[in-house]
Order: sequence, then structure tokens, then C-alpha cells
Amino acid sequence: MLKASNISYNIKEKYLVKDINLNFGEGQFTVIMGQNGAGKSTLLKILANSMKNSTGDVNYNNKDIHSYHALELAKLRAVLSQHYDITFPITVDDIVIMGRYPHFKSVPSHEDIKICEEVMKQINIEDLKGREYGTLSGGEAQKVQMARVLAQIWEKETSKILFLDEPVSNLDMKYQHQILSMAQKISRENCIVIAVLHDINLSLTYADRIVFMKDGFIKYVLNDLKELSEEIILDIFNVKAKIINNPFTDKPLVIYEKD
Amino acid sequence: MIFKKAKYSTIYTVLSIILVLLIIVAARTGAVNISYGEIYDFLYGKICGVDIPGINKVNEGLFYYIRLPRTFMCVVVGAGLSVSGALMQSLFRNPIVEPGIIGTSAGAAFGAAFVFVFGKMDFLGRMAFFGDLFLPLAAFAGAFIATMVVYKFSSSFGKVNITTMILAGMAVNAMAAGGTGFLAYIARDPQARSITFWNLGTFSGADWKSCTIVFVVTLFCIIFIMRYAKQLNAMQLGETEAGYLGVNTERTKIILIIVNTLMVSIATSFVGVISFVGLVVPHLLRLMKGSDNRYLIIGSALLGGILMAAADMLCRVIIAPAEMPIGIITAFVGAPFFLWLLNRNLRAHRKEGFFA
Repeated sequence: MLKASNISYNIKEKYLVKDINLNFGEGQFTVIMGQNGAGKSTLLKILANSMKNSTGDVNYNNKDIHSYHALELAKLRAVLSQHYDITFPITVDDIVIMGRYPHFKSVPSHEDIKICEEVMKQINIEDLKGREYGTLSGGEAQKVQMARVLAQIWEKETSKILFLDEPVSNLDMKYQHQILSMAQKISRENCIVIAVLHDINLSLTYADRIVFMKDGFIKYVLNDLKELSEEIILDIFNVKAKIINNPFTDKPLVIYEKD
Repeated sequence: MIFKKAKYSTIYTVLSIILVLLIIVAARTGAVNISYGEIYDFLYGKICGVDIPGINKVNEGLFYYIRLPRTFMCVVVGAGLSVSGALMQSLFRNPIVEPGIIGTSAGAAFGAAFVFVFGKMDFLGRMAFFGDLFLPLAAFAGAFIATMVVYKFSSSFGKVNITTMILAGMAVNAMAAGGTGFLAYIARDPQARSITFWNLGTFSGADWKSCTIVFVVTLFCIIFIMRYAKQLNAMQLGETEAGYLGVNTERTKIILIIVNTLMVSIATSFVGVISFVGLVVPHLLRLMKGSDNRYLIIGSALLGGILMAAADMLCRVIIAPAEMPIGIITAFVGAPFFLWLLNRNLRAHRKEGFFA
């Protein structure tokens, strides 16, 4: 259980997020949406404990996140970001094994190596083994990072948390679906998955719950995606849209009017 | 099976063998060449404590008290500067960083020049209880202040901005060089000459005492840095990402900068400013077998020692019986390499557009 109570974060008088109260349960895939600058990524960073100086409490399993040791926390939650800029040549294997860094001291155990191989098999990137990271396509690179992040929180005795910060924003359709269906699958393995996404229809396809933010506040929480209305889209994104039924998923599908 | 520890041991073995051979060759080469047979006799006599008849006492002294400490000094300083380069490049995720760029070397040079010029004066005479450690301590103080000024200027909100760091490094370098130049100007002749010569780096003053000090400090620092290899690897993903993997990036950065300053300043205080070694060596290793930091640190120590000993040997023979400051050779080899690197880097970044 991840519990956020009264979260605020401000730089001088400007509040980037304000009065956030949200609970996240195991097995649930939550997507946070909103315009640029609505405070989505800030909220995600606060929940993942990479942003200091916020007010309010974040609890993982009824324990304040600040009371966790950094390594303890790293075994509990992982974060996939939008893009990684790596300066020096490094192999795919070296990236994936980094996910196990919090788990070993200086040399990876057989268990660590086994987990990395298992993850790469599941994500279907075994053929990338030994490849130079810089030569991968954007989609391949993001799948490698996904493998690293999953290796980090592989053991599922306790529930784990996976954060995705705009994980598919510059990928093509195939990779967008691959990454998000992986995330959905992880959430079904008793994990909490929280993602920031920009594509409403992708969100509707994979999320269990959508949280809409505006100007640092939470404006709507859709536990049932069918509650999505044209007014919400207009209010949040300032775009005129129509909602129809998606025959593949039997969920709402948003189509836009021309500006 | 992939994930198996990559076969670094071959590289380590080859480099170690080259290093040992080079130490022997370097110790015999110079204005006066010592034959291998003589070296064998010297070593045999020393180790077994026997007096070998007909031994050339002058050459023995030359071997034991000049050539050997000098060669060891080269190896240790080369190792230290190269590890420092590898460390700085990984820490700042930038291929063109080395101790000379962020002010460390120039600051150390200023601290040391200060002792050269004022060391014999009364008000500093009271510091005499530091004895032989006075010079390295002054160098460390200068290097530390210079590095911290650059670091403080380039970091805001807990992040280091690389462009600002390089520009601040330029400014601090210029200031320290100006200070050193001023000291050379007001100094009496012999001191001035030693400052000038030493500003280009020289191993001619190496003896066993200085060699031991530099060796102990460098060894300690390298072992210490090795313990951070994993954290350095994680930081290649970015500092925030390393944080998600449980690395305390701010603490890691500050500790490593201090250790790095210590290592560079101690070496600089004895042999002067030697640029570009720290830049070139890690890149050669990356070309051989990737950028794992554990490998880069061990490899840099070995390859840095080799290149420095070789460069010093070249200095002694190229215009024998006179000798050239080693900084001239490293600059002639290193600076074009630096330009090549810069060019390659610019091409790689052209897509994203980088204006600084």
C-alpha cells in the first residue's frame, strides 16, 4: 500500500503540487494525466522519494519513506524514466545488471545473474545481449531499461512499486504497447504501478484508474473509466473531443475535433 | 553464457608484464646506459647481501638512488593521474574532464610554488615541524581550494553543470597560473628556475623518500576509489537514476572529489604539472574493452604507469645528455588527442545542438 497524505510542494509562492491525498493499492495500475506543467512528474518524483522539501507524508506499507535506508528503498521501488543519456560505451548486459546493484556488494551472485537472464527472456530482448547500448533504437533501449528496472524489484515476497515517468513518449506504437502491457502485467503480480502518460487512449487501454491533475491539484479520479466525459477532457486538456466505445476493449475511446 | 564477468584478466596480465619490463628498460636507459648484466648483479648483490667483486659502484649508485626511484615515481604518478582522469570523467559523465581542467593541478602548483618561494622565510619557518610533508600539504590546500571553488560555482540545487564547471575551471586555472607566475617573478633566480621547470613537470628530483610518500597516498586513494566503482557505474544512467538505485550521489561526489584532489595534489607537489595523461589513458582503455569503472580504475593505474615511464624515458634520451620536461611530451601527444576527442564529441552532439 502506498499512501500519500497532504502532499504539497512549492518554490516560493508557486505551488507545483498542492494538497494531494491518494492511495495506491497492490495490483492496481494508476495513470496520472494532465497538461504540461500540471505537476504530474513532480508528484511522481515526490512519491518515489527523489524530491526533497515537499510537505506531507508518503507511506509505503505504513512506513514513512524518509525512514527507509536508500538501499532498502531501492529494493522496494523502481523508476523508469523517459530517456537515458549515456555518454560512454556500455553493453546491454551491464545496464540490466545495474538493476541488481542494490542487492549485491561488489560482485553479482548467481541468483542476481539468473534474475537478469530471466527478465531479459520475459521481455524478449535476449537477442540484444552483448550489444552496445548506444547502437540500439529508442524502443529497444527503453525495453533494456525496463528490464533493468524489473530486475531491481524482481523478488515479490513483499509488494513492490513501479513508477513510469512518461515511459513511452518518444516510442513508436509497437513499443508503446509492449512497454505498457508489460507494466500492466507487473501490476497483476501484486505490484503497485504508477505511470505518467500523455496519450489518453493508451491510458484508457491499460490503466485501472486515471488521475487527472490541473495546476498542481487533483481534479478528477476515475476509478471506473466509463465515467470519462467530454467535459473532463475539455477541462483538463482544453481540447474538444467526443467519446465513443472502443470495440476492442469495450472501454471509452477519445476522438478529437480539429482545432 | 553472457553476464559472465568479462575477461579483463588478459588485459591486466598483459599490462602488468609490459609494466615490469618497462621498469627494467627505463631504469637502464639514460645519459649513461647500464647493461642488463650489471642490473642483475646489483639486484643479486642487494637481495642476497653479497658483495660482488668488480661491480661498478658509480653505476650501482646511479641505479639505486637515481634511476630506480625515478622510474617508480613515474609509474606511481602516471597511475594516480590516470585513475584521477577516469574517475573525473565518470563522475561528471564527460569525456573531456581531467585534473588539469577543473583547476586541481593548477591549484596544487600554486600551493607548491608558494612553499618554494616563501618556505625559507621566518613566518613560515614555524611550519617547519611539518617537515617533508609541508610541500605536499601546501599543494593539497591549493588544489582543494581551487577544486572547491570550481565545484561550488558549477553546482546549484545539488546538480553540477558541466559547461559552467569547465568555464569556472578555466578561470581558476588562469588565476592560479597567474599567481604561480607572480611568485616566479618575485622569486630569486634559482627558485624561479625551479618553478618554471617544474611547471612543465619533471621527475628529475625523485628520491626514495618522495617516492614513498606519493606511493602510499596514491595506493590508498586508488583502493578507496575502487570501492566506489559500482556507484560510478550507476551514475552513468544519470544522477537521479543512480539515486533510484540507492546511491547517495551527493555524498559520493563530494567524497570522491576530495580523494581525487588529495591524489593529484600530492603527485603534483613532487613532480609538477603533467597534463593530458589523465585524459588520454581512460579513453584508450575504453576503446579496448568498454567503460566498466572497476576495469577503468585498475586498467588506468597500469596503463598510466606504463605511458608515464615510457614518456619519461623518452625525455631522457631525446636530447641527451640534457633532458626535456615531461610536460612537453605529454602536451604534444595529449593535446591533439584532446582536439580529436572534442571534434568527435561535437559531431555526436550536433543533433541535439549544444551552444555554450
